[in-house]
Amino acid sequence: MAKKIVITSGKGGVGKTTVTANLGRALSNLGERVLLLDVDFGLNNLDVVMGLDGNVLYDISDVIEGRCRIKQALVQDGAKRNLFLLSSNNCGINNNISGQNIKLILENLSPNFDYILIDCPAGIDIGFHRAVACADEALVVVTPSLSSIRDADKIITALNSYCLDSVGLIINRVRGDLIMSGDMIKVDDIKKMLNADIRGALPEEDVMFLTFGQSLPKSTDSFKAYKILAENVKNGKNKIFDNTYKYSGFFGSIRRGIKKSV
Amino acid sequence: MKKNKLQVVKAKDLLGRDRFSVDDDFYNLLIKDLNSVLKEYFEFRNLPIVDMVKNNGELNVTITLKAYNIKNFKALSKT
Ligand SMILES: Nc1ncnc2c1ncn2[C@@H]1O[C@H](COP(=O)(O)OP(=O)(O)OP(=O)(O)O)[C@@H](O)[C@H]1O
Ligand SMILES: [Mg+2]
Repeated sequence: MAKKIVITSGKGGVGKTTVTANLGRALSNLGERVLLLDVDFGLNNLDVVMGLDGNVLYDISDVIEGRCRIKQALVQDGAKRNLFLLSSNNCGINNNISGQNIKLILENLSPNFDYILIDCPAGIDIGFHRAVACADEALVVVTPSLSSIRDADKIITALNSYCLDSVGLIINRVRGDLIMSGDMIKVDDIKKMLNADIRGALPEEDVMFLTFGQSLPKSTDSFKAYKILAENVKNGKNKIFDNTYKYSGFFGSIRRGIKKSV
Repeated sequence: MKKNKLQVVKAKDLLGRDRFSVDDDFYNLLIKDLNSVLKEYFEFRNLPIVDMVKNNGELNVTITLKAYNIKNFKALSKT
């Protein structure tokens, strides 16, 4: 049976969809069978971030409303045979779809996958409930900014009222140079404030923008950080990618200087 | 103080205040849930009242209910 993990955040635009796509790819690199599910109805983007938007024929509302069978709506990734997408509809927010509808679909698909990653909409309303109600675990994406930390705290409180096996944190858009210069909150300080385990610390890198719709190149820090995140998710560990490794010591301070002047 | 240390102080202060001041949705949901539990045990006319006071980093939560009778279960065994 698949482990169902909802990727959520209080604040919008912190990287939920990006994390869902790349964590899915990283888990599939470890040999896991992964399904990515977009439940951000009306504002779906997971298909685009996966580079699969041209291949989507049916979406989850077609399944729920009986226009196709579940398997017809699954889109296989171009590069990875063990990675699939179930898209949500892009024509308006559909409030008739209940958490129970989605839960039934996931129960049906669960034996065929090891992980189902659910991309949740921002905020705490019906969309949030729909996504969380069918999950076993939650990953809260937060960036090292006051507003994002504040919203993540509210989301963690809201998640406490669901029966989840675990709630973990993913710190996204971490800048090692800014941490070293004392300008960005440290990953460990965020962990202490939010009082939750950190499953991943992902760097802010231009490659996220430059490789939009494709897999991350293996040489990038993002690829390495996502690999560690996937291993943590798989093994229940909390190993953290060190985002500051490039910026300590003599050469590190030169790199910091260069980055600051760019 | 370095910028990131200042941010931590600010964030802690912000979270401290947020965690205490509950919004209306939280309060309404709590009253609704308490009401549905308590009405199984007591007969009452007015909704329960919840009072929260911060005390040395802890929250003292007081629930007040004016009931006029205890409901008789009959179905419960005496053992
Ligand atoms: N680590 C990163 N480094 C650089 N850019 C990033 C990183 N993570 C996300 N982004 C960029 O941030 C933008 C927002 O990301 P994304 O759409 O994943 O956020 P979201 O939380 O899903 O937003 P929404 O709440 O609108 O659904 C995208 O342009 C994405 O490429
Ligand atoms: Mg999104």
